[in-house]
Amino acid sequence: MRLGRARSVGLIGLEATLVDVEVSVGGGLPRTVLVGLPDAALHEARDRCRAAVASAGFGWPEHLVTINLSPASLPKAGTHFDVAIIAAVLAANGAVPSGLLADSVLLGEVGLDGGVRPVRGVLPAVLAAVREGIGHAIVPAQQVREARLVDGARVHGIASLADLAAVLAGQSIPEAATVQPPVRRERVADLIDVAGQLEARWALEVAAAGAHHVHFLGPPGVGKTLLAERLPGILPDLSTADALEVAAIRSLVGLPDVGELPRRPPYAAPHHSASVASITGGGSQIARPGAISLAHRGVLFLDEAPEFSPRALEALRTPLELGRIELARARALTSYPARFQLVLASNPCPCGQAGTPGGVCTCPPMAVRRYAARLSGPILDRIDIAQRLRPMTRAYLRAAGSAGEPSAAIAGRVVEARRRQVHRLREWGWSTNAEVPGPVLRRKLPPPEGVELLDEAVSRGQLSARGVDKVVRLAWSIADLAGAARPRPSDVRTALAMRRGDDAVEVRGG
Amino acid sequence: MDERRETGQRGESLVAAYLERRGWRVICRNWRCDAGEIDLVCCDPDGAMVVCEVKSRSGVGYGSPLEAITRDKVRRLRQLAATWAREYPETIQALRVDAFGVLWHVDGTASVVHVRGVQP
Repeated sequence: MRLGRARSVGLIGLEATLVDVEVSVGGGLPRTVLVGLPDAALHEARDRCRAAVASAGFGWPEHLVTINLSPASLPKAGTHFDVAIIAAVLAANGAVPSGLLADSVLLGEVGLDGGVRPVRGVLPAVLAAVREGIGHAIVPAQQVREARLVDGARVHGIASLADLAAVLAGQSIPEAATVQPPVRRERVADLIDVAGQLEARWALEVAAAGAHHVHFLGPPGVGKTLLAERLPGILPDLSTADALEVAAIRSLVGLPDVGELPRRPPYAAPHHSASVASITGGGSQIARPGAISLAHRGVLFLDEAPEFSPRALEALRTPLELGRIELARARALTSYPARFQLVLASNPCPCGQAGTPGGVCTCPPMAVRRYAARLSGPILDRIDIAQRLRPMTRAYLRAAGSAGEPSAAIAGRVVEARRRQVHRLREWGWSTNAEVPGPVLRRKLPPPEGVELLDEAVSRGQLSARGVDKVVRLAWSIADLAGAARPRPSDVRTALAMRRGDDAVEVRGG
Repeated sequence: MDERRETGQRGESLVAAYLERRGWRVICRNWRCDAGEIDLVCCDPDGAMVVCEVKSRSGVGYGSPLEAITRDKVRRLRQLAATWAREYPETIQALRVDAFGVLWHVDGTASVVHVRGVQP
């Protein structure tokens, strides 16, 4: 009876656990059994590994081969255990030295030709391995860059099982032989392309400064989508910790371009036909991340928001408050981060012209009301800024000039405002106004001047208790953009107008 | 067909000779009944009756010889062994099924793998 042992990582959502792959060879008729709660894809690993080992020129033991994945009670999914299984079998057979295996995690799927193919979740897996004190990571050659995002582990890229044997024997593989796919860079749209709409641009700037949620409301063709798409372009770069979270989620869903730390905030814009599961995350057995987690630390844009299914929209309520989502499925409870900035765009009615100066709405009044009611109160109450957009007149467009302010200039002011927030809030561990919990906002920070304006709005029933906090947060963001030490009455007034979506927002306070 | 049967027969003879050299006693060869055939029954030095299944191959292109002994085949062999034991006139101390894989090499030599007490 000979034993071989190698290590890999089991992933349930982003939660990673080290998995010992134990192989015992000997006794009995030649047969290979795989135990330890494998899922269907993993169960097939047995046949895949046998064929791969044969075509790589190694022999599969002609004995009873028992492969155990321990801890045996943890459900395991995915194809990335192949390389660890093969390493353990070869070590048990004495075909490779087992010295390095004790201090390594192995990840990768094998092809029938003995090649090693990329898998999902390399980044979170290597992160977990380093946390557990593992010194070496053996990953598919195409994912070397992704694994190197983690500090503290020596990363070896393998393109085939021959490379695996070489690495385990202590030989070095020439890096140049492994082809790295090029890193794709997305072109970010610039606000310079948006003519006019000064109010909406200002609302976008405030939203960017404090990470507030925005709702753009207006007739078709006024630039709601243009503006929303340009929000990521004026947001500041992600911190290293945030970027690692973003990269881990991207790696988990198998997005191809995790080659370097994503410094730009992510942007997700699901179509309005999206299902609840695709928005929140879901799926059978073990839930996978959805659009809200892909937009973590970035922007989630729901264009034509009233067209989304009510259930999909309502599902946003808890993640909007908590910044994460817990998904219970048959095999596991998973939790994914989902601290996103929500941008909604909607028309006022089915024909889109209701309440638009110069527009003629052809909808019956009930249709207008029904359309507006598709965005429920609880969702709208969580939105900080409601911004109405009007069609630009030709005179206005001429006056505004052909070119607006470029994104870079606005981004500069936003970075400055964010710096002020980090400085003010670091004592409590927050970095943006939108994140500050109510109690800290009310008791720890200096009260804004002109708070009595809010009391009046509350007593008239125009503002909920949550609404008051939201207005105060907005006022802070406006003050931060202006470089004021604390919000002035004009900031509170502007914030209140922004929150209620009043038609006459006094641009930049009066 | 003949060539294949010959490979099988040669394998069985080889195993019988191999076991006799080690002090086993061959009780019968190619015992048949309605349910199938037993290649070899031997009595090992400890006095146990051993029903032997011999698989011969002349190459590993289709896998090792022992891989041909599937779970169903083992189950059938155990039933055959029981049938044989009922018909055997003398008392049987112990009964077991062993598998032998015979691989014929090109130069006429062969290697034998012996698995004691196969389980389905």
